Amino acid sequence: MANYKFRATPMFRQKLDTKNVMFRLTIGLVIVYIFGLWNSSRYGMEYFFHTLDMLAVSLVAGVGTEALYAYVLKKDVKEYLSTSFPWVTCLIITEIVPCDTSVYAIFVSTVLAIFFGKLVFGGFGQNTFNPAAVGRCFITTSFVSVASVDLIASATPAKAFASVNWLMTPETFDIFTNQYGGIWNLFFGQYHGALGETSALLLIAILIIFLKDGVVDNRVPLTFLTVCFVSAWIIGAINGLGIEYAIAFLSTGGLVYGGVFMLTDPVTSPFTVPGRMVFACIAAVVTCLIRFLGNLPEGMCYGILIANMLSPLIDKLFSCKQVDSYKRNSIITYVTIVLSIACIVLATSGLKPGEYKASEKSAVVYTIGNNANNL
Amino acid sequence: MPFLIGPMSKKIRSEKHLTEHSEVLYHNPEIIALPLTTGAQEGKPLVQVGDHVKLGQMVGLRDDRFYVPFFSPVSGEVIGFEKRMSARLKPCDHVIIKNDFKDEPEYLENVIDENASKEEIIDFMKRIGLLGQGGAGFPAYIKYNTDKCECLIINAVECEPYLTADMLNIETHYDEFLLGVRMMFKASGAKECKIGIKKYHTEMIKKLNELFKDDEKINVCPVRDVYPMGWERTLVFELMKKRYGMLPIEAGAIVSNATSAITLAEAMMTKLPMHKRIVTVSGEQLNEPHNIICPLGTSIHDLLELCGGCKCENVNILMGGPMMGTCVTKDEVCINTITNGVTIYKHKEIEAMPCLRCGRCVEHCPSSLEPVSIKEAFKINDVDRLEHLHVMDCVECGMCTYICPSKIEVTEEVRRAKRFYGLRRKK
Repeated sequence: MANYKFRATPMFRQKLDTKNVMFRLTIGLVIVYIFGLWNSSRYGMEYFFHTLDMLAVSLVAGVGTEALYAYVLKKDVKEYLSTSFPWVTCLIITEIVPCDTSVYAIFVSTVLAIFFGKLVFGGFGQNTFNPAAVGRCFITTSFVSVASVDLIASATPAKAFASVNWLMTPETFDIFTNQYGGIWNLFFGQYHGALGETSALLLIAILIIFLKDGVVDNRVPLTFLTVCFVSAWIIGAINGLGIEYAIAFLSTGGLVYGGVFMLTDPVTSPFTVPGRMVFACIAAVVTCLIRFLGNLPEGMCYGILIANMLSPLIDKLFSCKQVDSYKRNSIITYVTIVLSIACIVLATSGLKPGEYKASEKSAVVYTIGNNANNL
Repeated sequence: MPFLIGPMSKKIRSEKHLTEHSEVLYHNPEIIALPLTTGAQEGKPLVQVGDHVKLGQMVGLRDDRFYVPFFSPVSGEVIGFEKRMSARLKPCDHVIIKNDFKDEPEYLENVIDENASKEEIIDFMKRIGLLGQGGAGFPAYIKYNTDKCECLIINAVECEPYLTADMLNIETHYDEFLLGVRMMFKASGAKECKIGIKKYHTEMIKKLNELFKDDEKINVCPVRDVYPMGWERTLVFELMKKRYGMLPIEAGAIVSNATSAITLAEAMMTKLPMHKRIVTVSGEQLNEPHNIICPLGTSIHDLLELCGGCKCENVNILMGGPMMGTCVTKDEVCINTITNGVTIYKHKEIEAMPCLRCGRCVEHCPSSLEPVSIKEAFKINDVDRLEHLHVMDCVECGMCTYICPSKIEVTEEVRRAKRFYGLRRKK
């Protein structure tokens, strides 16, 4: 005799679940990490081991903090960890910090990122800010002296590009790209930099796979990359450069990485469809403005954090019956996209391309290997 | 358009193979318990205990806002009245009839023929108690009583992932389907008629094109295989590119289910009102899922026994498909005119993860609502916010629960929010 029980309907569910989504995301992150590991091994074994250390320390700090939190709150630690996914934050932090950051700085910032970025808000699914971006901010602001044992400052294209405020004349652009073996070498990631920054090609390939499998939302990364790319293209054209400038603009620094892995974090981005596009535009504007006008070399993590902060507001703006307010929503969205591109382009109007001098490539490579002990 | 609004539908996993090729069973039970209800309102019985009733005799009538008669599905003796749980989870009056297996008929009077006028057809629909048999059970004669109709849509989509009853019904009743669609087309006074059917039924589309080749205004329109394509609003938008407020007639459309058309034609041919229907009894937990043809008022208990019982101890019974069906906790529930299926599920508790706010429910909601915001507004009992979010436009199609990667019971939360909002607004 069967028992007939009650359960809320519907009972039919799709197979994709959150754990599966996070698992695929982790695989994507691990692929990027392995590429970074291979890339760093070409600059010396000590550098390779430092990369391993960074991940190990970050994982210990991140998982440890969450385990302690679960233990203090008397929750089942194993169960809590399996539904909280701390390793995603750890992997992202490892991949976005400068490649010569000391393990001490990584340890402290991971703990702070997990605790103040995630746990104080109530854990996974409740956080307002992207925890990894919070961690990256701690490193840039608090550990300048520790983290900036900057042996390769002249070597990473991001810093070289930033030293001229991301603007170049055609002549200096040639010098710049030739130093890293041409524009496509930059795109493929055959240079030295933060683990996640290097290969734009790999990141775009991962993005395509993610979009196909429905792991990440498609509006955020596509709008973000489009706005950045189009703006860079226009700015390049104004300064007498072709599409190569836009490719170099996207390939250097954490722009693509942030767009693929950090902005797409569903917890901190809006859930309405037009809202996501506006959200991506805001992130793009802030990122590019910091690049062109700010003192910081790279603005990606601030772009993410400021856009995160605005996402509940954006949702409120679009929150209604979507079909009824379709016209209004589309006007707002398209106007925002055009305005953001205009804003970025106009911001560079008063700037002049800076002077740029190529550093000696061979000297750079040897310095890394010799000085890795000092980190 | 979809780029800024999301797809508002989703191709869902299909489990139709369970019953698609299995044998169709016939069943004639000894005891019939006919529910005197269609939706929320109950009808009054017109017979007394001990009366002898014939097949097709009127035994009950709902005569409030809508006129809906109830007919005896068998001949036999009325042995009592009973309050039983109905498919809508409310106890309601059932007429219990003991079947004498003679099937003495009482034929309908003034049966119309093919040359009947619009008014005659609508009156006939009213007399035979024709309901929208897609599941909502809206009386058909009210829908057709209009002259604003531009397009009649025959809904042969059947997007519930387990049900095959409608398709099987068309497959076995092509002549009736032809007649029924023609009569409905006449009754609607529309300029054209579109038959919505899912793309992958290539054989049936070919057959239907053949069938309707003489009727220039009746077209077979293949539609995408997504859920909830069978919902009026989605189907009207797919075929006419129009959206509307409350009823499809605002967009100049009447939507009727294919089974309703067949029922109308059968009533004309056999001179008997609807007394039997085909029910899909399906689910992985059943030993032998089947389509069963049985009189109305057959209890689920009988149907499950015919299908060889369940494989496991704790099961959930769903009246209807797995997406929109209601979960009943007793097997004494009886099928009525609008029951198109019974689905069996293994009972298991699902542990929900925290909401990711991924927005999948917002993107896929066919009403373009925000289930996640409604859920949050309901949590803090914010009536104004619920009003702003148009909570009452939800049709409980179950898409948000299906799509949720965190396995949250979103539809159930929205259902509660609707109930809460309804109560609060009355005050």
